[in-house]
Amino acid sequence: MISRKCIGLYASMLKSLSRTQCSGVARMHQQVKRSEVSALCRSLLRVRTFHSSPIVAQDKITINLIDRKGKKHTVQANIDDTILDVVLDKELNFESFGVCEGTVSCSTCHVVFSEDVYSKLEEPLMDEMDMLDLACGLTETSRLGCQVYLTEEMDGMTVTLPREITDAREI
Amino acid sequence: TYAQRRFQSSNTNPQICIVGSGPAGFGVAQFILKNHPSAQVDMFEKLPVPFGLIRYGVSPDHQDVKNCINGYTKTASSNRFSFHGNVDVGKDVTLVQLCSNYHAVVLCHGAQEERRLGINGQDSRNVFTSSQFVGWYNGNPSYQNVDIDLSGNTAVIIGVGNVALDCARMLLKPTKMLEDTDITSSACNKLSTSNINRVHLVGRRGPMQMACTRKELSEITDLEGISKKLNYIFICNNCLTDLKRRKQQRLIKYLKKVAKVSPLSNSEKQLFVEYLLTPHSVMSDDDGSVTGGDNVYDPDIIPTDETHHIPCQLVLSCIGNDNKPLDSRLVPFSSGKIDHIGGRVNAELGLYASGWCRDGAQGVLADSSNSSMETAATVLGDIEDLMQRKSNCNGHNSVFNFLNEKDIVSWKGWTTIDQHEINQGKKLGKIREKVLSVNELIEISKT
Repeated sequence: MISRKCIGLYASMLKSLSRTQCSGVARMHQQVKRSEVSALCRSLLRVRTFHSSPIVAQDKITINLIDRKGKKHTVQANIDDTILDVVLDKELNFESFGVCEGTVSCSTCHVVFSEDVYSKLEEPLMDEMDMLDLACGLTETSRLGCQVYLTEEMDGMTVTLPREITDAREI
Repeated sequence: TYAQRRFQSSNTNPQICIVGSGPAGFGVAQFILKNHPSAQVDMFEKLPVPFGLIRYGVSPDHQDVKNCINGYTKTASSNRFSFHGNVDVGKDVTLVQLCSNYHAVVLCHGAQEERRLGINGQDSRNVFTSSQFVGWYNGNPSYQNVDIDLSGNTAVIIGVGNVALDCARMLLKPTKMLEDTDITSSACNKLSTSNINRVHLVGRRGPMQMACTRKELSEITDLEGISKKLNYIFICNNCLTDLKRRKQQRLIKYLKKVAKVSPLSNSEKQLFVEYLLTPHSVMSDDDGSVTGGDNVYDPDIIPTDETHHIPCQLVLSCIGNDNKPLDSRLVPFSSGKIDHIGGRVNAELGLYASGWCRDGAQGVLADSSNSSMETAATVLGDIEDLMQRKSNCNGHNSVFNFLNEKDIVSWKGWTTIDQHEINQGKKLGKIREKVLSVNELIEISKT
């Protein structure tokens, strides 16, 4: 039986393999690979549910998103989807969110986590760090929504879209 | 449908005009169409084609940044949106005329004044601005006459922002890596015959003031076969940990790493990053070509008499652009920015502004998005009042009375051009082959 850890390792292997010196085409490839991994994870989990007896694996969690106007949206989300995936799938219609379509070429999917959840997240890759440099209203617990994958532990968490309009880069 | 439209666009539907079709313009359009059920948005663009710097500024090896076009295309499909390309606001139609015909006019026309170096020799042969060089390789019709000589081996680039780095990268990157992009074929062919193998990036100040990002720098320094030389003594040990300086902090860390790792070897190509040098003059020999640039060593912004001479055969100045108000009588302008409150420039006229034309030529996509959301929200907040006061606005139904002689490119015209360019590109194994003249663009849009 394939454990979740193996799936996770496979996913991060794919991520780092496709990380280096991405051209536009390579980046699209990277994104496709990520959704393939997500689909793979989901299908493997379902297989696990089917074959293993009493334990039923949960592949959905509940998360809260607070939009730029301060309104709270509570949704059911798939584990292993990214936060950007959730915003798009659930048609939350946040303005100018994920403009570059998840290719780490902008910072419009910038979200803020609670310290508790943030500390458990994997380190961001260099690409994401570069884009976060330019994000408006950057905080110590900021991440790009297209780079954070949902896990079971995030059930019930709240992420916030920053409301600041002005650029945090001013020197 | 025109008669129908005239009936519908009576005074119950706000008529909004947007000048400029880049990220700022589309950001405003998206917000307004989404948050108002009946507002009509008319977008005017000087060129026959939309998207501004996304099409003509973003470099060919940064295709991901152009993904935002998909969102803009979706916005353009709304039946409350219409695009009018090849209309030069200021010449073909005045701002006053627009303000009389639309409830709100939002200026999103960017910053297009090329900054001059202001030094002796700046008009010598083979000295170009970033607008000229970038416009040339990106197919901007206004810059196809740029006759750039790449037979020399050293180029000096004045400036160390992201545009300077784009230019350096275009000069140093193997053209094989650009062949399948949307760089113009003529530029790609010319670059493939280039002899330039040494590029100096010259910054007026120090590493703490470098305007480029770590990512842009690493894109060149990570390229194989390029050795880099940075003056390590300038990279100070104090890394600020304040989050506002995060970008600078990460850049400095990276500079330190690169400065340590790369000795000058016999690599084919070399990149030099120089600090604290203010360009003094460009010297040419008798036939007018560039032979060198004198720089004045400038520590702590106290000028010295010391000069540093860099022999070169090409000079690119990448020192930013200035914005200029479309109509200085109507648009209050100070210190290179349009005076505004939340994007509102003139309440009486219903005039607004967003993006680089308002705040100056800096910032990335996210900044334009934010600026546009703010401005569009202000417009929608004012719209009731504007509709009461300006009750005769009829949008493009009346504005086109002023534009009789013009060939106006509609959105459908753009999709025709788009498809043509993609098809031409397919034949050459490229993403697209851009059409290089305004006349040709207009002709194709009519087919």
